[in-house]
Amino acid sequence: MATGVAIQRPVRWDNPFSPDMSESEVDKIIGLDMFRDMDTSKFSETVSLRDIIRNDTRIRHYKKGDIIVRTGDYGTTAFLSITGHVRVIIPPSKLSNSQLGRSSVPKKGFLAALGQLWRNPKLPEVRDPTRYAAGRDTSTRTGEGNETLTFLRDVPAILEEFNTHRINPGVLFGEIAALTRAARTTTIFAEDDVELVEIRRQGIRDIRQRVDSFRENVDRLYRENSLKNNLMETPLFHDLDDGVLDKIAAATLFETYGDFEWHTSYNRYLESPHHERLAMEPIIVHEGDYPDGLLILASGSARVSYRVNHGDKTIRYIGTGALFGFEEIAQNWLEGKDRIISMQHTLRAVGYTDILRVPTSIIETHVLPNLPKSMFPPPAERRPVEVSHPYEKRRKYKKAGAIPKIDTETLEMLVEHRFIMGTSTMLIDLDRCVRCDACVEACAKGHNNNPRFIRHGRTFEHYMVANACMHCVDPVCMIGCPTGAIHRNTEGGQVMINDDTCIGCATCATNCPYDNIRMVEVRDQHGGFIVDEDTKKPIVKATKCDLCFDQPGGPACQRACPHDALQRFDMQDRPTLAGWLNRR
Amino acid sequence: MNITVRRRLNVAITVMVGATLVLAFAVYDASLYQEPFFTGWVLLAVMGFLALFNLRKKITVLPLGSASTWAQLHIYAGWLVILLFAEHIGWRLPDGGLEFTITVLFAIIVVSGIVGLMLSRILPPRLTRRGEEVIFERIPAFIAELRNEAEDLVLESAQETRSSTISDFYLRHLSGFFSGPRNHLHHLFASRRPEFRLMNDIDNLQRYLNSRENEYADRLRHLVNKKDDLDFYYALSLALKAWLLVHVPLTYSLLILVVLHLVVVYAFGGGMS
Repeated sequence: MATGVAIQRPVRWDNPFSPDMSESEVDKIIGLDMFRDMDTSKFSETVSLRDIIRNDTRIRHYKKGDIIVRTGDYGTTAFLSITGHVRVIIPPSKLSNSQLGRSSVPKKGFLAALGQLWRNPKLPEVRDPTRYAAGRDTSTRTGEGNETLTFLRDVPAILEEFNTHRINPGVLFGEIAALTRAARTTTIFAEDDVELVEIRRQGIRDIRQRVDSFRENVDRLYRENSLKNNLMETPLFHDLDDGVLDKIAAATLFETYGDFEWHTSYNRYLESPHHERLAMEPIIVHEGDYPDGLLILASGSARVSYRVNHGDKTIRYIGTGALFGFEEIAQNWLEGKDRIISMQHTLRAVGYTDILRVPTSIIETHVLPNLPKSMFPPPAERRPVEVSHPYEKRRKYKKAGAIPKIDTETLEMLVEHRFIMGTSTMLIDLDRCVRCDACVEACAKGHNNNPRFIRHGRTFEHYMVANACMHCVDPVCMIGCPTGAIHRNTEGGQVMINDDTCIGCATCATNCPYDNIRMVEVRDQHGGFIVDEDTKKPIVKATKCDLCFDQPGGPACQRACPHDALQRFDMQDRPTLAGWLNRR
Repeated sequence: MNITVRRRLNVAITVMVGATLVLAFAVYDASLYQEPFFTGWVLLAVMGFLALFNLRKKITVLPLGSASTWAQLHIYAGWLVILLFAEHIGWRLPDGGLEFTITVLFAIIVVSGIVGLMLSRILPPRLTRRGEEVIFERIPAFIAELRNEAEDLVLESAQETRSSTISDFYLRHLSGFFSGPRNHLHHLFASRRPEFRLMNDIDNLQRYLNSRENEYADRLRHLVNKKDDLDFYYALSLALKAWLLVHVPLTYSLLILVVLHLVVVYAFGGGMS
């Protein structure tokens, strides 16, 4: 066999958080209260506390008014102030979109929408250059390493107008969003010039694993701020009083599975054979295990499968808020200790998954005795009904009045390609699509003559998952955007890009594992490329589907298809998806 | 809603509406009113509605109902309009020049519509089964790429093997094939005869080639297969678009003639009501 090029095996910290971190800066951070008293013997020689500080932290400087974290952004880092104060805006009060450097585009009226038909420019990607100048003057400045920062002009007025809380030096903040990969729940800005330590998630995770006091502190904050809310969203716990909920929260374990940055290895994962791909998905619960706890998916997605000969057959996927293991726990409780059944399926993390594990004893003591009969699940079913032939499928469903199921092959494909992350995944039925591109034209008409998706993508059976933004549950594209230009719309939840504040760094496009974000060179109204004053290189912007959030009728692509060939799906709504896939 | 259920429901509604209209025309006629005026105005209204579908397709930015709902209404109102037209002309061919022209235009529009509907149900699954999706507008560019590749291959074979057998064969049998989209009708009717014939020609050629030349012939065969796939895609995609080039412009022509017919009827139909 021919030998390829030899390289050094990539190792952790080949790419430190800050390549410029000096030893004196490492000493400075280690000298802070939070790190000074940590027991360094808890860390291994290969991953010492000093290594973590050197490679997973960096020192940042913010000027008065600079926004450090912005509500709604997805961050992967936490902060600790060395000098200076920062302010957190206490919800429910919040800054306006324009103060946060986000676009605030109202829905178009009837005439404005109609006017697009003749007002749209003929050339692609035309912008009004004056917009960018206006945006820069009002709310952004260039920070360290040419990073664009959004800042608040009038800090005293903000302090007066909004309910805020001061965070003093030495207090960690932003760690929950970093650990759980949830959106930031509030905005934090520099009250005066501040020096901060920014710690990336991998570092927080390693320290949390090794230092009890740190873990207890982070877990306590999580229990106090988020856990109870997460539990209350679960229907099983709706009717429980506060005292019981506190007990459940106190006993709940917080676990994480998978690779936080799964999107970086997505293409490698797809190129692997099926059994290797499956092996890359960490097992959360193994088929045959004792059901020791009720699992609640706090974030991410997971694959449910069972063993078939030497492989695993996927029967469904579950997403945020889903329960796993309740059937087994309930059945064991009902039938008594004589007939204990084990877990009937294996649960694997797809990408990255946060799990809340509520011990079985807690469920048996506090939940099951008072649970209404209607909420008890049917007995744990190991093997779903095997129905393969379309005619047989229709007949059985009709007879049983059951909800149609998604074929195993389709399920495997959707899970392996992580299309299950989408809340608006575009599926095209190629057996009905006449390739007229009415969908693409409709999209273009709503976006200044620029289509924001491509009628191209991975296919399975006679379906195509088109290259259109899926508006993921867990949008990895939003991680690392320096200006917060890519964000969730506060009204509809769509993932959108603010063209005015996008600096064309392509972080979002690189992060998107599905290639659904395109970088484009923009032109002025006369067709000339808008260029950078200094380098004369074209200005680049990120573009993607925004679900026609500003159009009066919603996503034009879906409405424009005369053949019922195109639909957008929330992939967690499996019954609707299954109904569409089996609609013949 | 399940597609079969929807189809049955739509057919049932169309039959009921059709039956009601026929009954209404009969009652109108029995009341000694001029039935053609009544049928004519109903026909014009339905034809106008049918023509609006194209407008709806152009105005995608407004919430005017989904195009698929409009398409369903268009299809079933289309079936209904055949009945209305037949009622209007009294189930016989008109003898006036204008009316005859309108009838012929109407027939062509109806037939093109039915053909279009059939094509849009039959051809997409065939495109899907063939494999990779190609954007129609880019097919000529892909064919040009293949042609360049084939010509480079043939030139290389002549230089490397010092024989003109393959290049002569290319000029005789393949240059026309690679020059643009070919064999539309064969592909449309699912015939693989042209491809088979070319494969057969290459097979025959390979009898007289040495191993080095055979390698080139195999690569050429691969390019022929790829080109045939593009031809297939082109022919079917073209058919899916081409019927509209008959259906839509003739609809506008028909509407103009219908207006003229109205003017003539009212100008010279004094006393009728």
